[in-house]
Amino acid sequence: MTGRTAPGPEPVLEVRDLVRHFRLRRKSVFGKPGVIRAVDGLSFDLQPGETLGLVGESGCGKSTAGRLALGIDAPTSGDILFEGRSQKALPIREWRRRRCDMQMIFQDPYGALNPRIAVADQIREPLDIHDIGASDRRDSEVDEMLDAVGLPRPVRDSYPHELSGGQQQRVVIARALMLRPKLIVCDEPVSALDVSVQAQVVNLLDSLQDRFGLSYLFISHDLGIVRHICERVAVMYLGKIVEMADRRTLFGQPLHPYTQALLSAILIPDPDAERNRFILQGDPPSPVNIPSGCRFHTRCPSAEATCRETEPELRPIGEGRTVACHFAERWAT
Amino acid sequence: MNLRFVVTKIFRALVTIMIVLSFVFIALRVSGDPIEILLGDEADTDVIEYYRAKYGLDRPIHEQYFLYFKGLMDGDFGISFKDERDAVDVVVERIPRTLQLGITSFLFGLLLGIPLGIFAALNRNSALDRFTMGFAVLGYSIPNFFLGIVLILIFAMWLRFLPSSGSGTWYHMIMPVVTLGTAGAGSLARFARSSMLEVLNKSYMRAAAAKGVPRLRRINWHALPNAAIPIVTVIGFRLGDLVAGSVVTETVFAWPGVGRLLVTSVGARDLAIVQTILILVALTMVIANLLVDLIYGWIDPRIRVSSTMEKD
Amino acid sequence: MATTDTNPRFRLTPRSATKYPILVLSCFGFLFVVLLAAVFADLLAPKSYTALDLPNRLQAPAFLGGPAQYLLGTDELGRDIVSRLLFAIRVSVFVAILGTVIGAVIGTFLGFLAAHARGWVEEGIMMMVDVQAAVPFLIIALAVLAFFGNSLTLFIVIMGINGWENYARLTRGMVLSASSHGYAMAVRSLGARPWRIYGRHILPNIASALIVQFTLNFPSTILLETSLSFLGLGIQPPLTSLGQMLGAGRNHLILAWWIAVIPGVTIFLTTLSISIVGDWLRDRLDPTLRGR
Repeated sequence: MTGRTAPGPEPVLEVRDLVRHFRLRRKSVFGKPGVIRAVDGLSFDLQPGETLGLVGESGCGKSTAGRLALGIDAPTSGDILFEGRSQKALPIREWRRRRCDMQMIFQDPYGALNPRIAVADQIREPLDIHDIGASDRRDSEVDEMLDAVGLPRPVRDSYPHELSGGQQQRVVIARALMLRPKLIVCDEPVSALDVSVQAQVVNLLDSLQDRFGLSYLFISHDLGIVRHICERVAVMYLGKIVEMADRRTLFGQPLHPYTQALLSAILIPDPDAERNRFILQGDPPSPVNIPSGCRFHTRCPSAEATCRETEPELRPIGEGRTVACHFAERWAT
Repeated sequence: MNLRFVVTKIFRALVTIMIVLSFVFIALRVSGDPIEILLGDEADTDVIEYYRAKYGLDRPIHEQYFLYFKGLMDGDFGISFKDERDAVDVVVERIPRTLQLGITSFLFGLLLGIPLGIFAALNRNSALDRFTMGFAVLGYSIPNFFLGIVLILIFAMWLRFLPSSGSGTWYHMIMPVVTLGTAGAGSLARFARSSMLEVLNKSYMRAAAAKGVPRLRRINWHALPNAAIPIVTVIGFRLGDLVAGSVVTETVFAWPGVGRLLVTSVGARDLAIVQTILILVALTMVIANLLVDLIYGWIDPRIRVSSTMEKD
Repeated sequence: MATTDTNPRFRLTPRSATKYPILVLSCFGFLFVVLLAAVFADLLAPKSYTALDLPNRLQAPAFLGGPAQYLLGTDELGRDIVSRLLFAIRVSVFVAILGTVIGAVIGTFLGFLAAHARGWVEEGIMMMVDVQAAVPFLIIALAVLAFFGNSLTLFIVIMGINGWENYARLTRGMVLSASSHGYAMAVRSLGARPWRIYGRHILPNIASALIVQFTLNFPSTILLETSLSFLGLGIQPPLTSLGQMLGAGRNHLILAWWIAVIPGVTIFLTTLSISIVGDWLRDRLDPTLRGR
């Protein structure tokens, strides 16, 4: 275990130098096959009961990171430890049993539900799959879970298309909670919902966290929501973390220029916060051709010669913060 | 066109042929002893031994497999048990007749079906359109053996216009060509109509109309070339139906082609002839499909692009 | 091939009864009659289909002036054509249904297998699909009959092999697209085993497309059976089938055209009806396949 882990309770999830590359097809017989470096060296810990936000533009690899964390996709290299145990090359049986400890909440709740099966049966399904409890007991657990996620009992016999988007997401959350997992990866859980419903679902997730003792890995591109629910935030750019800090620290004084850019794009009602306001130009480079040196230098307003040549390490700056920028100290003062 | 696309297609074609050849080889061994089927139980043992040695049937199986492929490479497809001649020769002399019938029927289907379909599309919901669609559905639903018999009944038996069988003059060709070509005409008409309708609904057609391009020029310059792309592939698919159809049609009209030879050889279990024809058909089809794929990849640039962006 | 998304809006149960065109209804009616004839052939047949009546050979149907006891006339051995037709329908329909079901089961299974196993299993299955799609199946069927001789069992197996590749290709494509996202992924991440994902979740969602494929494949199976039997290489006497009746009647066109025409019309109307019903079903169930 690395020295970065703070003493105290054992982390639920430890991600170590995670890499996931996708190979592209060759363009011709003689061509070099391209490689999408979706996740390119990712490390973080998640403490019990904590909510860690993983933010970044679309295509930065945050969803892939979520799938890797759950073992739904296999990493090219690196390791993931769940409660201290490596998840590498688990036998399929062991992998299935692990599902009871970790679950996922999806961006598109309607897509995540089978259109032909009644809601109650879908919520009950995890218990059927893992053969937990007596059959009649399972139905009453479904009812209790419906109460817990704030769904009226009559929806038991509805089909997904008869529910609103927010209700569908509550069904997905209920299904994930049936196995009493310790870790839940929320992959953009509210971005497909109406703004008016988003807050309700986020508050629901917040209240369920205490009640069921959950740790969340909260993947989102919406900094407003991340600020609302996450205790710590990791900012990803092209497959790597560029800055990770406590919410208060990060939102109060972002150190990485990319974080600054992301924050200046949203309105924060805090006149005291001093920020270099600048708008990101263009799209991020393709994860097939990641720039040399600092991967952000092509869009960074303060890039210098060093940035093009040397890749900055992720290093601790101040209390509870790590930044990957050569000039982090410059922004800190 | 990118090389990977071409190489993959050629590799697939070769594998298809290898699988067909291996199937024939295995079937020939599993099905029993072809010699006994031919000579019967009462044949002299010396004669049987002679044939066994001649066809390599007394060797171990892997040697037979090797000998088999070596023989095929040399053009030795076995000897027709029936008349003691090289199977290849027996089949090859039938090919011109089959080609004559097949090509004429193909052109008949093409020249009847595609214009019908295009005119139907241009006059949507008119009487012509309804007639064409009716004809198309009837055309590919009527079994060709039944169509042939109906034609014989009408034109040979009642009206006494046309000869019912044989292949002497071009009169002899009319009924077989109609029998074999009608299904193709029907499905081509239907397909030409739907792909033409699709093109006519495209926004660039409306744009051309808005610019004031005359109708005839719109159709000839903008609609037809784009509608032609899907039609080319369907023509490729038609070949298989044509081959299968010629087996039946040649039998109905006693047309002395490869199809009729196949039917009589299957009945007589003349396996050398059957394997020769099967391999011939497989080769023809594979080469034709390869050509269609390559032509399609050449005229439709989208195919080339889409094959390169796929996740591993 | 068109993309066949598993759209949840496909339903087998029609929403309203108003969208049944007369043509489709009469096709359903005809197919129902054919099915009744096949099921109740022995009850409906006035005579045994093998009973000879040599003095009454090649009699015209009753409505064309033949004897009243033979509604559709007699064949060259004086056998009653009504009775023979009923039993021929029974054999043809039985062989075609059995063959289509075998093909659907094998093809769907191999499609699932290919999508599940990936790798060389998938390559192998798709290669067989390519081979079968490349060579016209009538030729393959004839070759198999030549190599292995004719028997009813083998004949039905051949009917089953016809068309399996369509199901395999369709199933593989739909399973791959369904497994990669959405509910299948969600259920997998709950820890479900493959049989649960495929059987309970994916199969019901792709069933409507498979049923459409079934109706599209059925006429081609009937045509294959009747063609082979017509050529004298399919159903063998004393059994009879529509194709075999037609093939036998071919030799008596001059004296008794009805022997050939009656089973021919039956085959024609049956395949026509199934095609029309199939097209209609396809348009109703699967708008993405339209216009092909």
